[in-house]
Parts: sequence; structure tokens; C-alpha cells
Amino acid sequence: MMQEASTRPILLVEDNPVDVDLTLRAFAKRKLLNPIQVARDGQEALEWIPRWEAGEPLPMVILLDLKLPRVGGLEVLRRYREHPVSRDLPVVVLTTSNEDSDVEAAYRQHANSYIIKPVNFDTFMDAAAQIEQYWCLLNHPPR
Amino acid sequence: MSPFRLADTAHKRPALTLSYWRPWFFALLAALLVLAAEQVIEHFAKGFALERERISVHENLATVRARLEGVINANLLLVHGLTAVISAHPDIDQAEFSRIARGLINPRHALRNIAGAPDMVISLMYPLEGNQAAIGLDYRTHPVQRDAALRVMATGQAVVAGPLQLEQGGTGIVAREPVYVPASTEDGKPHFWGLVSAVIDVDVLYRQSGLTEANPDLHIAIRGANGKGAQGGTFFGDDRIFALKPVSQEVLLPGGTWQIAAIPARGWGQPDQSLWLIRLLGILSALVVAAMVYRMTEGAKHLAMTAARLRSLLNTLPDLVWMKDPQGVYLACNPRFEQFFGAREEAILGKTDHDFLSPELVDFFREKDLAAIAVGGPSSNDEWVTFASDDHRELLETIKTPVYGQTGNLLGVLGIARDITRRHLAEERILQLNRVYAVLSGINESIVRLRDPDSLFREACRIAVEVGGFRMAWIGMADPVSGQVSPVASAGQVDGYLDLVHVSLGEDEHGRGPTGMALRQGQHVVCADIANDPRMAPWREDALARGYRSSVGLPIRIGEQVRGVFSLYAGQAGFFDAEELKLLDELALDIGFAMEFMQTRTRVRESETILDSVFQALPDLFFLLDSDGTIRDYRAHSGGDLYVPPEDFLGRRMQEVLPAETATLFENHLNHVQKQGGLATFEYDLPFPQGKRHFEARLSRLPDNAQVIAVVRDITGQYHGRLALLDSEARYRHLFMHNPASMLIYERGSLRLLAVNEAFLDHYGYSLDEAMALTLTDLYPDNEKRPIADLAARLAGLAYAGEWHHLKKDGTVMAIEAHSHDIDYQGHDARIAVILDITSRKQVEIALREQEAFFRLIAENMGDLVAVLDLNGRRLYNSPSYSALFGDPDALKGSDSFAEIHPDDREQVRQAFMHTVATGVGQRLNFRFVLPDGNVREMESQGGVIRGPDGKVERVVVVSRDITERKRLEDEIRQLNEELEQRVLQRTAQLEAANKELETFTYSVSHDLKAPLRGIDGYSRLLLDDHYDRLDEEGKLFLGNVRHGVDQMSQLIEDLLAYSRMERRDLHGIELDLARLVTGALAERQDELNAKGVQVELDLAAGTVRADPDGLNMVLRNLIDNAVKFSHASQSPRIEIKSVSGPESTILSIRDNGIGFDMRFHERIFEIFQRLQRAEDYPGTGVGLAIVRKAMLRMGGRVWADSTPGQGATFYLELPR
Repeated sequence: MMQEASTRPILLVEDNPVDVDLTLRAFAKRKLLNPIQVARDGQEALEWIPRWEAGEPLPMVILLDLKLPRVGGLEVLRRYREHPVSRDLPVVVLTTSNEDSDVEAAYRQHANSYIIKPVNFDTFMDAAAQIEQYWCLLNHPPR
Repeated sequence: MSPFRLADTAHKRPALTLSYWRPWFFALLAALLVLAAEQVIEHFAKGFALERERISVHENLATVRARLEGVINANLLLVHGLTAVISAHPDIDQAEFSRIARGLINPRHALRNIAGAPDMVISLMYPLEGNQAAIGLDYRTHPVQRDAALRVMATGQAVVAGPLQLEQGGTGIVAREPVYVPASTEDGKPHFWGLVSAVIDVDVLYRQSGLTEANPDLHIAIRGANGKGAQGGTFFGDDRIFALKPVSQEVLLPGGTWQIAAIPARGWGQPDQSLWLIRLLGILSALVVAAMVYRMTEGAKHLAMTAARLRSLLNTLPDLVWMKDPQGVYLACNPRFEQFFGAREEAILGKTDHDFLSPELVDFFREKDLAAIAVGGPSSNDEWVTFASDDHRELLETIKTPVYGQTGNLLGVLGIARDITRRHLAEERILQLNRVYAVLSGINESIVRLRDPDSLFREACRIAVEVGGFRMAWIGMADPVSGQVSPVASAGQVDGYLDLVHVSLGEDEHGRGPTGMALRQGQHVVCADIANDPRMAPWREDALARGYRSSVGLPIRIGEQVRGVFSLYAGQAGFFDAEELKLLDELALDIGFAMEFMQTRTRVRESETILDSVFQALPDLFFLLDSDGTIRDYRAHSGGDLYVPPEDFLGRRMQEVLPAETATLFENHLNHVQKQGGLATFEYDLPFPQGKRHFEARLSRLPDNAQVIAVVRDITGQYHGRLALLDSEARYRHLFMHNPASMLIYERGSLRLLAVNEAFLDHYGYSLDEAMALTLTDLYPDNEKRPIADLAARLAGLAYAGEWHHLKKDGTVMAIEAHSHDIDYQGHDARIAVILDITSRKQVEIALREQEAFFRLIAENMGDLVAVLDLNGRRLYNSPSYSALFGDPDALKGSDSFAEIHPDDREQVRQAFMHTVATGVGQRLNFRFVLPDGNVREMESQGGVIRGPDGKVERVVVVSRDITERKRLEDEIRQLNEELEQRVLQRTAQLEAANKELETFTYSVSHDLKAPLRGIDGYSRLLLDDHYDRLDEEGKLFLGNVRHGVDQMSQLIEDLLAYSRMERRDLHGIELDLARLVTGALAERQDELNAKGVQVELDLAAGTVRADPDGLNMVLRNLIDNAVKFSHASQSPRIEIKSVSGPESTILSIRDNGIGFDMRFHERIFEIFQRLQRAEDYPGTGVGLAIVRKAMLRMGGRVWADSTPGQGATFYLELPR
């Protein structure tokens, strides 16, 4: 299903409402065109799989936090990678941890990218812009 | 020399006499004549040629002259014409004149101009142009032309003058003609009108007459200007021509002549070819003629010479030369022939033999002549003739040969006769001498052949008679006893002569015959004529009766003395002449020598026989050797056998016959003996089938020559014996000398040392000389001298002398043990002794005893239990310490040591015991004793063995220690240790758990703390952004402070996280390029460095360090940040980063020129959260250096700092390599 790049969403998986809000604002500040879908925990994230299978538009990129209640980020990632519909979706792990173990685990689960959330909002806004630029504009999605 | 060899003389070099030159002279003469003739011819030829030339020139010249005359005359005629006109018209005027003249003058003619001069004055002229000047010319007064003009007038003849230079220019001849007007009256004389002068251009003249282009071959000259002929001047051509014998002619001119001459251009007398031909012919002819004349003369000379020679030859020829015609008439004969006939040639010629000779002779000669004619060639014969001239006889060898003429007709017979009388006689003579020679050689041959004198004598006589032709020959030897010469041999016509004749040795009548005289005088004595010689008186009759006419006695010398006479008798008187006698003398000498020789030989043979017997008797072999080693002869007794059979070595060189070494030996000695004489003696051996044989050879040079005599004796037997003796002697000697035990031989009685071996010298320290000076007792210490002397006197046979002491040279005493035996040593009654040094043995014995005592001491007194067991484990000895366990140790003797061992340990102990016995190696083992009172004691024991003298294990020694107490203590300690370990493990587990908790805590706290910070920062930022205008300054400030706090907090959390990570993480030490990391860390901060204007100096050594990359990066980052932070206050912030690599580690230093710190706080700065500066002055969390230290510690390195307040700080890192 080839859809316009600008209309395809970005899926944000994040539990902290503050972080969600700030992320949305950051993207808005940078004039992001893509709509942003939010999953508040791991479970919600997983519930997107059937919806995609049903035919809902696939996100250009999934921003995944690792620290999620109910189902942890790594688990979500693993499950995504099991499903054919979500297997090739670009996943950018966006988390606070810079532990080697986390990084390793994420990549082992075939995360496409690993970004550490900066505290500084300005820096975060730049990162958001870069993410959007790269994954939504520059990158050619799998489908 | 044949009489017909005349030609020879021609080849000889002739004498340089007049006759020699004559042919040359005539030849030369002839040549000269021919040349002269040639010259004459040449001359005529030349003359002829010249004539011809002259004629040719003459013809040419004539032609020219004619033409010249012609032209001139032609022109003159023209003038004459004019003259005629004028004479007809004396009043002619210029115009008329011109008109007429015009016709005359044209370029064809040579006339240049014509002038009329009535009354001798020129008034008419044609052409006028250019000649006006001539008008008015008065001939009478004109200096040049006056004479000519007047002459004309006077002679009334035309005159030609010139050539002369014309006034008008050019050259011309002037012809002047008088003009006469005829008389008006009949008888009157013509009237002289004047002159007509015409100038003729000479050039035209010349041209027209062909002078100029004439003959190129001629040089023409003309002289006679003004008609003066030969006297006149030359006006054409070269004057010199006239002197060169020209052909000249006269050119007739009015009033004179010219002389014209010509010579050929080439000159007279140029030789033309014919001349050269003549010359050549002449020369050739001359040569030819000369040669011919030469030859002729030469020939004639030769002929004359030949004739003369022939004549003189014939005249001087000793041979008779004659020529008869076919009828026998003499045609010619030579002077010698004249002698034969006793008449002169003239008288002989034309006559025949009949006129001079006896009929028989005539027939004889005729026969011979006819024979020659018949043969057609030379034939010869001999005849005795009588010369009529003086009646002497000659034997002539005559050659007669027919002579034929040119046509082959017989001219006659040429006869040549040679006197061969002398030759004949000579031949006779030779024959005679030959006979004597034959006798000589025959007798010499006999001498060589015959061995005994008698046969020699007989042969000599026989040969003399049979070969020599003597009538009788006899040899007589002087017999001092009878005083006579006794005949020993004779041959020929003896007829009992010798019985009759008695030649005595004395001076008497019977001793003065040739024989006796010869005997006494020692020289040959000849009796040339027996019939008349007084010396032969006693025997004359008898001799003559037997036909002896002459005799000679030849002395036979044997040695120095004349012992006999060889007498020869010839049938003619005067038979013996000097030559013969010489030969006969030789013969006698030879006979004498032969005699001598025979005698010598007999003597030699006798001595040889004796010698042979001697050799036979001797057992030795004798060889005669040449200087080069050739074996010439040998003598050996018949019994012995030779190395090689005689035929194989006689005549061969030793080197070929003997084995190489032996031959060389011989050769060397041979050479030596030859050079230096004397006797050379040496031994050698040769391999024989039966075995090796040994020989002794003696070489000696023969006195007179280079030969050497070798006497060889077989000494095999002796040799072997000798060898055996030497061998055994050597062996004994060896045994004695090299025996490791000291040995000496002393003389019984005197006790003097006769011999010592090496071991003795070595052991005692004496030199051989010193030892030989000792007596036996010298070796003993004073207290033993007497006893040993006594003992030595008593010893006999093999004896053990006992233990004694000997003194070494240096005085050291050693204990010895001696054995000795009788020996006959070099004739001395002696004893040989073997000395054993038992000092060490004794010492060992002592030491052993001491050791035993010592061991006993120890054993008695120590606490440990010592038991000595036999091989079955029975107790042989127990130390007193055993009383502590088992009571009286002596009571234990013989008991089984295994009995008290705890049953559980018994087997093991027994095994160990067995092993020790078997191997001799003691073991350490622990076991338990069960004491009689039931107590169990733990024992620790060590085994050992005692070996017997044979090295076998005899006893087992066990040293045991009661370790019961010790064991108890050990158990206790072990227990405690175990408990301790347990506790430690527990504690460690606890610690680990605690650590882990702390980690997780730190981790989660850090992360969880960050979340709200994000919120704070985010919203505060949004506030500032979105609601900026709604905020007042204070609000902005507050927000700013809030954000600042967030920053700080965030940094702190980062640092804490980093710190905690340092703690938790596995740090992988890998090799890192330090320089690259440093530069990388700096690069990260490049913007900041530039912004702050920080100068960075790097001095980084190359090399690697072993560290965790992230950790080291963290460290570098922190330190660089610090350096930047704390130096930023100074005017020119500078950071120096240096690294130095050592063998074990690398030290990195980072220095800043910032505020520095007090070294008092060196330790504190590395503690977490410890800050030395106020946060507002120098931001920071206080964690950085803690991180650095933690990281360095965990990477196996370390960090320290050095600083002075206000002068910056230097932080050092040490990293392993």
C-alpha cells in the first residue's frame, strides 16, 4: 500500500504523559507534517498489529521507549519483529537509558536506531527534526 | 784424368791477361765503328733533311717574294700609269689628278695615296683628306726624302723607299717615279716634269703578299730599307733571323732590292723521326755488331786457347798418343810416342809400325787396332814394350778407339797408352803387404781364439807360411838353462833345419844370427840376403839348401823381457822391406801380449777357483753391484735359496728385484758407500714363501771402480730371538712402568733402589734421578728404618711385608702396605715391591668410627625415636626415647616393630618397609602406634637404610616422631578455617547482592530522575518560546534560573550514571592508540576550545596502551574538560598534553595554566562530590575526578595530580601497555 509519505503516521510508544506531550510539541515546533499516533504502554503498542493487518496505514517510523508498563519496550520490539506486518517497520528506540545492555538488547531485537532522550528540550527538538527528516523524508520505507 | 777433357778448362775463371781483354777491345772497336758509321749516316741524313728543309723554306719564301714583288710592281704599274698620264698631260690639275688617281686608289690596292710633285714640289695629291700636309712638300729640301727623291731625279728611275713612317700615320713604302714629258721636238730630250710619289701601305702590302698569314711554319724577315738590300735595315720580322742561316732571296724593287729571309719556325735542324730511327738503328747495330765481334773474338780466342792447350796437353801428356789411319799409317803422334819409336813426329807420320817394330809386335798391334775397329769403341790391353829412345821397358795400358768423321766414315784409330809399370809394381807390393796383413790378422785372430801359448805358436807359424807365403817360420823361446833358444813351434819347409841349427843366447858365433840378435837386442833383425850376410855364416849352407834366401827375427816380449823369437824365412832375397817389417814388429808385439795375457788369465783363473771354493764354504751371499744398483754377479753357497732365481736378478737393478722399501734402503746405503766409501751395514727383511726372513747386509765399494760388493747374511733365527727378547723385555718394562701402584726394585743387601715406576715418582714426589739415589730405608720414618731393614734381609719369595709408613719427598707421612718378590734385575739380586698407599683407607676407618660415635650420641640424646631394624623388621636397636612409649628400649630388642602399629596402618607400613629394603630409599609415612595402655599415638616417620660393605641393604633405620599433639592442633585449625571460609562466602554474597542492589538503584534513580527533568526543561522552554511576550523580565529570569537548575541536575545525573557505570561495567582492556584518543577527545571539543581561545600543545609519544576505550575516553574527556574549565579564567588559556612511553606503562599528563589547587587537597579532589571551588565560579558536579579515578583503578592504571595554587594543575595518568 503506497501512501503519501506525508500522510503516513509516526507511532510514538511512550508512557510518560509529560514526555508524550513534549514530544508532540517538539515535532509540532518543527512543523512535522506526519500525524503522530500514541501508544501509552506496551500492550497498546501491540494492539496496533492487528489494526495494521486490518489495513490501517503503517507508520513511517515507530518511536519506542523501553521503559513501558505492562509490556516492556524490548518485548514490544520482539513481538513487532515476529509479525510480518510489522517486521520491517523502522523502529527508533527513543529512551533515557544509555546502558550497554539495553543498547545491545535493542539491536538484537532488530531496532533500526537507538536514540537517548536528551533532557534539554532544545536538543530534543533538534533530534525530533532530524528523526522526521531522516525517517519520513529521506528514508524509503519498506512498503 | 782422361785426355779428352778439354772443355773443363773453359769453365775455369780465366786469368786477367791481355788476351782476356781482347774480345772486349774488338767488340768495343766494332761498336765504335758502327756508331761512327751511324754518325756519318746521321750527319748525311741531317744534311739531307736540312737541305730538304731549306728547299721547302726556299720554295715558300720564293712564293712570298714573288707575291711581294708582284704586289709592289702591280702598285708601281698603277703609279706608272699615272705617270704616263701625267707625262701626257703635264698640266694636269688636282681635279684631274684626283680623278685619275681615284681609279687607282681603292682599298684593294695597297696604294694609300699618290702625290704629284711637279718640280719636285708636291702639288697634286690624292686623296686630299688627311694628306694635305704633304702638299707643298719640297723634295729637294726635305731632309728625309731628299736623298731618295734626288736619286730618282738623277737616275730617272723609279725608286722605292722605305718602309718608313708616314706623316699621315702608319707605315708605308714610297715609290717615286720620275715623270718625263716627251720632248716636244723630235730630237729633244724628254723634259723632267717632276716626281710622282705613291705611298704604298706596307700592311696591305704584306697582307696581299701573304707575309702576314704566310706560313705559320716560317719566320720571315725583310731588310733592305730603301732598297739597300742586305745592307739595309730590317723592317719586317725579327732581325735575328738573318743570323740564323736563313734562306734568303732578293726582292727586286725599282732602285734596289730587299732581302727577304726565312727560317723555319721551329728552327733549323729539328730532328725528325727518321733521325731518331737512324740513331736507334745505329745503336742497336752497334750493340749487335759489338756482341758479334765479341763472340767472334772470344770464340777465336777460345779456339786459339783450346788449340794451344790441346797442343801443350798432347806434348806434356805422359801418355803416348797417336793416330793411325785405317791402314795403319800414322797420322799423328805426341812427343812421348816419339820416344817410343825413337823418332820425331815428322819421321813417323806417313809410316806404319812395320817401319819401327818387330814383326810380332806389329802383328800384335795390328790385331789390337782391328779389334778396336771391330768393336766400334774403345778397347784396352796391357803390353810390355821397350822404348827405342833409351831401351827401358815399360808396361803400357793401351786404349785404342776408332775415330769417325762427320759423315760417319772411319778416319782412323786413336791410340792412348799409359805407363802402368809403377802401378804394376805397386800392385805387386800391395799383394805382398796384404799377405803380411793377412798373417797379422790371422795370428791376431788366433790370439783371440786360442787359449794356450803352444797352440798359438803353432798357429802363428802355420799362418805365416800358408797365408804369408814365407818359406819357413819358427818360434823359439829362450831357455836360460840350456843357454839356447829352443824351438817351440814351426811350420813350412823346415826339413830338420831346426835340429841342425843352434841359436845360442850368448854373444858367440851362434848367437849373432838374426834370431840371437833379435833376442838380445829386443828389435827385429833382418838378414836381407842369406847368401851374402856374414852373420848367417854358421847356418848358411843349410839355409840356402832349403831355399831360404832372406830372413827376419822378431823378438817376442812377455812383460818387459824378450823371451822368444819369431823367425821368418822367405824364398827371395830382399823380401823384407820397411813396411813389412813394421807389420811384422806389430805381429811380434801382439804375440808377446797374447802370451802375457794368457799367463795372466791362467793366474786369474786359478785365483778364481780358490775364491769360488771360499764362497762355497761361506754361508753368506755375495753380490756385485753397479753404482746404479744393477746386480752384476753373485756368489752363493749351493745350499741356500735365493729370493729370486739368478736369471731374474742378474743384470737387473735391485730396485726391480727387491721390494720397494728394501730396495730403497739398499740404494741409500749404496749411494752413501759410493760417495764416502767405508762399510755400510744394515738389516732388512724379505718375504719368503715360508715366512719372513731377516738379513744383514754389508756394502763396501771396490777400491778401483764404482762397483760395490754386498755381503748378505741370513740372520732370521737370531733376529727372531732378538725380537722375542726385546718384546718380553718391553712388556715387562711396560708392566712395571705403568702399574698404577707404586713399584720399586731394590737390591738385596745394599737396599739400594735399582728402579722405580712412574706411579712411584708421581706418588712420592721424587724425580727419577733422585729416586735412583735412594735406598729403601730412606723411605721410612726413623722409627721404622731399623725394623724394615731387618725384615728386608729376611724376605724371600712372594711376601707380604705388612703395614708401614713411607715418607714422601716433602715429608708427608703415608700409611702403606707392601708386597714384594725376588727378581733378577739387570744382573742384580733384587726384590721388586708393590707399595699400596693405605693412608686414605686408614683415614676412612677413623672417620667411620668417629661418625659412628657421633651418630650414637645423637641417637641417644634426641627426642625422636630411632629404631634400627633388620631386614625382617625386627628391632635391633631402639633409642632411649622409646622409653616414653614402650618402656625400656633394650627390652624391645628383637621384637617385631610392626606389632604395635595400629592394625589399619600396619599393612601400609609393611609395604613401605619392603619398598625401602628393596630400593634402599627410605620413605616418609605416618602411622599410629597403639600403646600398651590403649593410647593411640600418631607417628610421623622417615625411613632409611644402612648398607653393608657390599653395598647391599643390611639394616633399616626408622626415625619417628610423636605427632599426636600436633595433629590435634591441626584439626582444630582446619575446622576454624572452614568456618571462616563459610562466613566469608556469605559475606561476599551479601556484598555482591548489596552491590547489585546499589547498581540497580543508581541506575533506576538516574533514569527516573531524568524524566521529570525533561518535563521541567521542556515546559520551561516552551514557556519561554510560546509565551515569551507574556513574561516580564523577572519571569524570564525565573525561568532562566529554573532551566539552569535543570541543566545542573541533568549533568549531575549524567555524571552519577557514568560513575556508576564505571563501577559496574566490564572494562575490556584492549590496545589503544593513545594519541589518537587524545586528539579525538580534543576534536570533540574543538568548537569550545576555539571559542574560548584555548591553546593546546601536544607532545604525544607513539605507542599503545592497554585500556577500555570507553573508559579511557571518559577519563580523557573529564580531564580535558577540567583543564579547559579551570584555565578559562587566565588571559591565554593553555593546555599541554604530553605522553611518555615506558617499557611497562605510558604516562599521560594534562597540564593547564588555570587556578590550580593546594596539594593538601590532593586526595579529596578525587572523592565523589568533593568540590574545592564554588559552583558559581567553576561549574561542575564534583563527580568528574571520582569517575576518572574509578575508571583508572578499574583499568589497572592510576591517576594523580600535581599543582601549585595560581600556577595551574597537571593531572597524570598511568596506563599499562
